[in-house]
Amino acid sequence: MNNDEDKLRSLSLTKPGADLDARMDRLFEAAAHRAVARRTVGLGHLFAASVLSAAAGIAVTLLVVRGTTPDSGEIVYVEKTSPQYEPPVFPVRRNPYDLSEIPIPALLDAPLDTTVSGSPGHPLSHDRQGRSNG
Amino acid sequence: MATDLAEALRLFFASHRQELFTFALSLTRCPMGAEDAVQTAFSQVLQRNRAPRELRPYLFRCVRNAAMDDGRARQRAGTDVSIFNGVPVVREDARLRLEVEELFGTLTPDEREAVVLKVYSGMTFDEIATVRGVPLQTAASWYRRGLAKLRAAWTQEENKP
Repeated sequence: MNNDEDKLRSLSLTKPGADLDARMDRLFEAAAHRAVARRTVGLGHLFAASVLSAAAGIAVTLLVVRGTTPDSGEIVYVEKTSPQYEPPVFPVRRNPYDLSEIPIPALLDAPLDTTVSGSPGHPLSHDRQGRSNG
Repeated sequence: MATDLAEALRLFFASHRQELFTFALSLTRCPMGAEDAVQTAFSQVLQRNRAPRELRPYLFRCVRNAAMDDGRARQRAGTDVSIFNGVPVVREDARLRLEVEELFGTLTPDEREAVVLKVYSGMTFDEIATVRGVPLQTAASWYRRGLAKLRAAWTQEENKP
Protein backbone atom coordinates (compact mmCIF):
# COMPACT_ATOMS: atom_id res chain seq x y z
CA MET A 1 0.00 0.00 0.00
CA ASN A 2 2.87 2.41 0.72
CA ASN A 3 4.16 1.88 -2.80
CA ASP A 4 0.79 2.79 -4.17
CA GLU A 5 0.70 5.94 -2.09
CA ASP A 6 4.22 6.81 -3.19
CA LYS A 7 3.18 6.37 -6.78
CA LEU A 8 0.33 8.78 -6.31
CA ARG A 9 2.54 11.26 -4.49
CA SER A 10 5.06 11.21 -7.31
CA LEU A 11 2.60 13.04 -9.53
CA SER A 12 2.70 16.83 -9.62
CA LEU A 13 -0.41 18.53 -8.39
CA THR A 14 -2.24 21.57 -9.69
CA LYS A 15 -0.96 24.57 -7.77
CA PRO A 16 -3.12 27.35 -6.34
CA GLY A 17 -2.66 30.75 -7.92
CA ALA A 18 -0.90 33.71 -6.30
CA ASP A 19 -4.29 35.38 -6.04
CA LEU A 20 -5.28 32.92 -3.31
CA ASP A 21 -2.37 34.01 -1.13
CA ALA A 22 -3.28 37.68 -1.59
CA ARG A 23 -6.92 37.03 -0.75
CA MET A 24 -6.03 35.07 2.35
CA ASP A 25 -3.59 37.76 3.51
CA ARG A 26 -6.35 40.36 3.24
CA LEU A 27 -8.73 38.05 5.11
CA PHE A 28 -6.34 37.56 8.01
CA GLU A 29 -5.44 41.25 8.20
CA ALA A 30 -9.10 42.23 8.28
CA ALA A 31 -9.71 39.68 11.05
CA ALA A 32 -6.81 41.05 13.07
CA HIS A 33 -8.09 44.63 12.66
CA ARG A 34 -11.57 43.56 13.75
CA ALA A 35 -10.11 41.94 16.85
CA VAL A 36 -8.20 45.11 17.74
CA ALA A 37 -11.31 47.25 17.14
CA ARG A 38 -13.37 44.98 19.37
CA ARG A 39 -10.79 45.32 22.13
CA THR A 40 -10.70 49.11 21.73
CA VAL A 41 -14.48 49.37 21.92
CA GLY A 42 -14.42 47.23 25.03
CA LEU A 43 -11.89 49.54 26.65
CA GLY A 44 -13.96 52.55 25.66
CA HIS A 45 -17.02 51.08 27.31
CA LEU A 46 -14.99 50.36 30.41
CA PHE A 47 -13.73 53.93 30.53
CA ALA A 48 -17.22 55.38 30.05
CA ALA A 49 -18.62 53.12 32.75
CA SER A 50 -15.93 54.19 35.20
CA VAL A 51 -16.55 57.88 34.47
CA LEU A 52 -20.29 57.44 34.95
CA SER A 53 -19.74 55.51 38.17
CA ALA A 54 -17.48 58.24 39.51
CA ALA A 55 -20.04 60.91 38.60
CA ALA A 56 -22.82 58.94 40.27
CA GLY A 57 -20.70 58.49 43.37
CA ILE A 58 -19.97 62.20 43.54
CA ALA A 59 -23.67 63.03 43.13
CA VAL A 60 -24.68 60.65 45.89
CA THR A 61 -22.00 62.04 48.16
CA LEU A 62 -23.20 65.60 47.56
CA LEU A 63 -26.77 64.62 48.34
CA VAL A 64 -25.77 62.95 51.58
CA VAL A 65 -23.62 65.88 52.65
CA ARG A 66 -26.33 68.35 51.80
CA GLY A 67 -28.90 66.32 53.66
CA THR A 68 -26.95 66.56 56.89
CA THR A 69 -26.39 70.32 56.88
CA PRO A 70 -28.29 72.43 59.40
CA ASP A 71 -30.47 74.23 56.86
CA SER A 72 -32.21 71.04 55.82
CA GLY A 73 -34.78 71.30 58.58
CA GLU A 74 -33.27 68.76 60.82
CA ILE A 75 -33.30 69.67 64.50
CA VAL A 76 -29.90 70.83 65.68
CA TYR A 77 -29.14 71.11 69.36
CA VAL A 78 -28.55 74.70 70.52
CA GLU A 79 -27.63 75.73 74.02
CA LYS A 80 -30.38 77.62 75.92
CA THR A 81 -27.93 80.40 76.69
CA SER A 82 -27.17 80.85 73.01
CA PRO A 83 -28.72 83.87 71.23
CA GLN A 84 -29.93 81.46 68.50
CA TYR A 85 -31.96 79.52 71.01
CA GLU A 86 -35.68 79.69 70.44
CA PRO A 87 -37.94 77.95 72.86
CA PRO A 88 -40.08 75.36 71.17
CA VAL A 89 -43.68 76.19 70.54
CA PHE A 90 -45.98 73.31 71.14
CA PRO A 91 -49.39 73.43 69.41
CA VAL A 92 -52.39 73.39 71.61
CA ARG A 93 -53.98 70.04 71.38
CA ARG A 94 -57.68 70.02 71.83
CA ASN A 95 -59.14 67.24 73.83
CA PRO A 96 -61.48 65.53 71.41
CA TYR A 97 -63.59 64.29 74.28
CA ASP A 98 -64.04 67.74 75.77
CA LEU A 99 -67.52 68.92 74.88
CA SER A 100 -67.38 71.96 77.18
CA GLU A 101 -67.23 74.36 74.24
CA ILE A 102 -70.31 72.92 72.80
CA PRO A 103 -73.44 74.15 74.68
CA ILE A 104 -75.74 71.33 75.60
CA PRO A 105 -78.95 73.30 75.04
CA ALA A 106 -77.80 74.13 71.52
CA LEU A 107 -77.42 70.47 70.90
CA LEU A 108 -80.90 69.76 72.24
CA ASP A 109 -82.61 72.71 70.58
CA ALA A 110 -80.81 72.44 67.29
CA PRO A 111 -83.34 72.68 64.45
CA LEU A 112 -83.56 69.94 61.99
CA ASP A 113 -81.45 71.18 59.13
CA THR A 114 -80.85 68.90 56.22
CA THR A 115 -78.56 71.30 54.30
CA VAL A 116 -75.51 70.85 56.43
CA SER A 117 -73.25 67.91 56.32
CA GLY A 118 -73.56 65.51 59.09
CA SER A 119 -76.70 64.30 60.81
CA PRO A 120 -78.92 66.81 62.69
CA GLY A 121 -77.88 67.36 66.22
CA HIS A 122 -74.41 66.24 65.45
CA PRO A 123 -71.81 68.53 67.04
CA LEU A 124 -70.20 69.11 63.69
CA SER A 125 -73.29 70.67 62.31
CA HIS A 126 -72.83 73.65 64.62
CA ASP A 127 -69.92 76.07 65.02
CA ARG A 128 -68.37 76.81 68.38
CA GLN A 129 -70.94 79.36 69.29
CA GLY A 130 -73.63 76.89 68.75
CA ARG A 131 -74.79 78.41 65.53
CA SER A 132 -75.83 76.11 62.88
CA ASN A 133 -73.44 75.84 59.93
CA GLY A 134 -75.27 76.19 56.71
CA MET B 1 -8.20 35.69 21.68
CA ALA B 2 -9.44 36.67 18.22
CA THR B 3 -5.97 37.75 17.12
CA ASP B 4 -4.61 34.41 18.33
CA LEU B 5 -7.15 32.59 16.21
CA ALA B 6 -6.34 34.70 13.15
CA GLU B 7 -2.64 34.06 13.65
CA ALA B 8 -3.19 30.32 14.12
CA LEU B 9 -5.25 30.17 10.95
CA ARG B 10 -2.65 32.16 9.05
CA LEU B 11 0.05 29.71 10.09
CA PHE B 12 -2.18 26.75 9.26
CA PHE B 13 -2.90 28.09 5.81
CA ALA B 14 0.77 28.75 5.16
CA SER B 15 1.66 25.15 5.94
CA HIS B 16 -1.35 23.42 4.38
CA ARG B 17 -2.31 25.59 1.43
CA GLN B 18 -1.50 22.95 -1.20
CA GLU B 19 -3.39 20.23 0.67
CA LEU B 20 -6.41 22.44 1.14
CA PHE B 21 -6.40 23.51 -2.48
CA THR B 22 -5.93 19.96 -3.80
CA PHE B 23 -8.82 18.69 -1.71
CA ALA B 24 -11.05 21.56 -2.79
CA LEU B 25 -10.08 21.09 -6.45
CA SER B 26 -10.85 17.37 -6.30
CA LEU B 27 -14.40 18.39 -5.39
CA THR B 28 -14.97 21.48 -7.51
CA ARG B 29 -12.89 20.49 -10.56
CA CYS B 30 -12.27 24.21 -11.02
CA PRO B 31 -9.24 26.16 -9.68
CA MET B 32 -11.20 29.36 -9.04
CA GLY B 33 -13.92 27.45 -7.27
CA ALA B 34 -11.32 25.68 -5.17
CA GLU B 35 -9.74 29.00 -4.14
CA ASP B 36 -13.17 30.39 -3.28
CA ALA B 37 -13.93 27.33 -1.18
CA VAL B 38 -10.71 27.66 0.79
CA GLN B 39 -11.28 31.36 1.43
CA THR B 40 -14.90 30.79 2.41
CA ALA B 41 -13.90 28.10 4.88
CA PHE B 42 -11.37 30.29 6.65
CA SER B 43 -13.75 33.24 6.65
CA GLN B 44 -16.38 31.12 8.38
CA VAL B 45 -13.96 29.99 11.06
CA LEU B 46 -12.80 33.58 11.66
CA GLN B 47 -16.38 34.78 12.00
CA ARG B 48 -16.97 32.03 14.51
CA ASN B 49 -14.29 33.77 16.59
CA ARG B 50 -13.59 30.59 18.50
CA ALA B 51 -10.91 28.02 17.78
CA PRO B 52 -12.35 24.55 17.16
CA ARG B 53 -11.08 21.66 19.19
CA GLU B 54 -9.43 19.96 16.22
CA LEU B 55 -8.46 22.58 13.71
CA ARG B 56 -7.33 20.45 10.78
CA PRO B 57 -10.36 18.16 10.29
CA TYR B 58 -12.68 21.09 11.07
CA LEU B 59 -11.12 23.30 8.43
CA PHE B 60 -11.14 20.54 5.84
CA ARG B 61 -14.77 19.92 6.63
CA CYS B 62 -15.51 23.63 6.09
CA VAL B 63 -13.60 23.50 2.81
CA ARG B 64 -15.61 20.47 1.78
CA ASN B 65 -18.92 22.16 2.56
CA ALA B 66 -17.93 25.28 0.66
CA ALA B 67 -16.58 23.23 -2.24
CA MET B 68 -19.75 21.16 -2.49
CA ASP B 69 -21.81 24.34 -2.70
CA ASP B 70 -19.46 25.71 -5.34
CA GLY B 71 -19.20 22.41 -7.18
CA ARG B 72 -22.91 22.39 -7.85
CA ALA B 73 -22.62 25.81 -9.42
CA ARG B 74 -19.52 24.89 -11.39
CA GLN B 75 -21.07 21.74 -12.79
CA ARG B 76 -23.54 23.94 -14.51
CA ALA B 77 -20.61 25.89 -16.00
CA GLY B 78 -18.98 22.68 -17.25
CA THR B 79 -15.46 23.23 -15.90
CA ASP B 80 -13.40 20.10 -15.32
CA VAL B 81 -9.82 20.48 -14.14
CA SER B 82 -7.86 17.59 -12.66
CA ILE B 83 -5.79 17.81 -9.52
CA PHE B 84 -2.85 16.45 -11.54
CA ASN B 85 -2.42 19.44 -13.82
CA GLY B 86 0.69 20.68 -12.10
CA VAL B 87 3.96 21.36 -13.87
CA PRO B 88 6.31 18.46 -13.02
CA VAL B 89 9.19 19.54 -10.83
CA VAL B 90 10.97 16.24 -11.25
CA ARG B 91 10.69 13.74 -13.99
CA GLU B 92 7.47 11.85 -13.69
CA ASP B 93 5.81 9.10 -15.59
CA ALA B 94 3.44 10.81 -18.00
CA ARG B 95 1.67 7.56 -18.68
CA LEU B 96 1.14 6.99 -14.99
CA ARG B 97 -0.32 10.44 -14.68
CA LEU B 98 -2.80 9.83 -17.47
CA GLU B 99 -3.70 6.48 -15.97
CA VAL B 100 -4.28 7.93 -12.54
CA GLU B 101 -6.37 10.77 -13.94
CA GLU B 102 -8.50 8.26 -15.77
CA LEU B 103 -8.72 5.88 -12.83
CA PHE B 104 -9.67 8.61 -10.40
CA GLY B 105 -12.73 9.14 -12.52
CA THR B 106 -13.80 5.53 -11.96
CA LEU B 107 -13.74 5.81 -8.18
CA THR B 108 -16.87 6.72 -6.28
CA PRO B 109 -16.86 10.25 -4.81
CA ASP B 110 -16.39 8.82 -1.31
CA GLU B 111 -13.45 6.67 -2.38
CA ARG B 112 -11.87 9.56 -4.24
CA GLU B 113 -12.18 11.91 -1.28
CA ALA B 114 -10.75 9.32 1.10
CA VAL B 115 -7.76 8.69 -1.18
CA VAL B 116 -7.08 12.41 -1.66
CA LEU B 117 -7.30 13.14 2.06
CA LYS B 118 -5.14 10.18 2.99
CA VAL B 119 -2.50 10.48 0.28
CA TYR B 120 -2.29 14.22 -0.40
CA SER B 121 -3.36 15.68 2.98
CA GLY B 122 -1.71 13.09 5.18
CA MET B 123 -4.83 12.61 7.27
CA THR B 124 -5.46 9.67 9.54
CA PHE B 125 -8.60 7.59 9.14
CA ASP B 126 -9.91 9.17 12.33
CA GLU B 127 -9.50 12.65 10.85
CA ILE B 128 -11.05 11.57 7.55
CA ALA B 129 -14.00 10.17 9.49
CA THR B 130 -14.36 13.51 11.28
CA VAL B 131 -14.26 15.44 8.03
CA ARG B 132 -16.91 13.25 6.48
CA GLY B 133 -18.95 12.68 9.62
CA VAL B 134 -18.83 8.89 9.28
CA PRO B 135 -17.46 6.08 11.43
CA LEU B 136 -13.76 5.40 11.23
CA GLN B 137 -14.31 1.98 9.65
CA THR B 138 -16.38 3.51 6.88
CA ALA B 139 -13.65 6.02 6.02
CA ALA B 140 -11.03 3.26 6.08
CA SER B 141 -13.08 1.00 3.84
CA TRP B 142 -13.60 3.82 1.32
CA TYR B 143 -9.85 4.35 1.18
CA ARG B 144 -8.99 0.66 0.87
CA ARG B 145 -11.55 0.10 -1.89
CA GLY B 146 -10.35 3.16 -3.79
CA LEU B 147 -6.71 2.18 -3.57
CA ALA B 148 -7.51 -1.41 -4.47
CA LYS B 149 -9.21 -0.26 -7.66
CA LEU B 150 -6.19 1.85 -8.58
CA ARG B 151 -3.77 -0.96 -7.78
CA ALA B 152 -5.78 -3.42 -9.84
CA ALA B 153 -5.61 -1.11 -12.83
CA TRP B 154 -1.85 -0.59 -12.45
CA THR B 155 -1.24 -4.29 -12.08
CA GLN B 156 -3.26 -4.97 -15.18
CA GLU B 157 -1.24 -2.41 -17.11
CA GLU B 158 2.05 -3.74 -15.83
CA ASN B 159 1.11 -7.29 -16.79
CA LYS B 160 0.29 -6.38 -20.34
CA PRO B 161 2.65 -7.92 -22.81
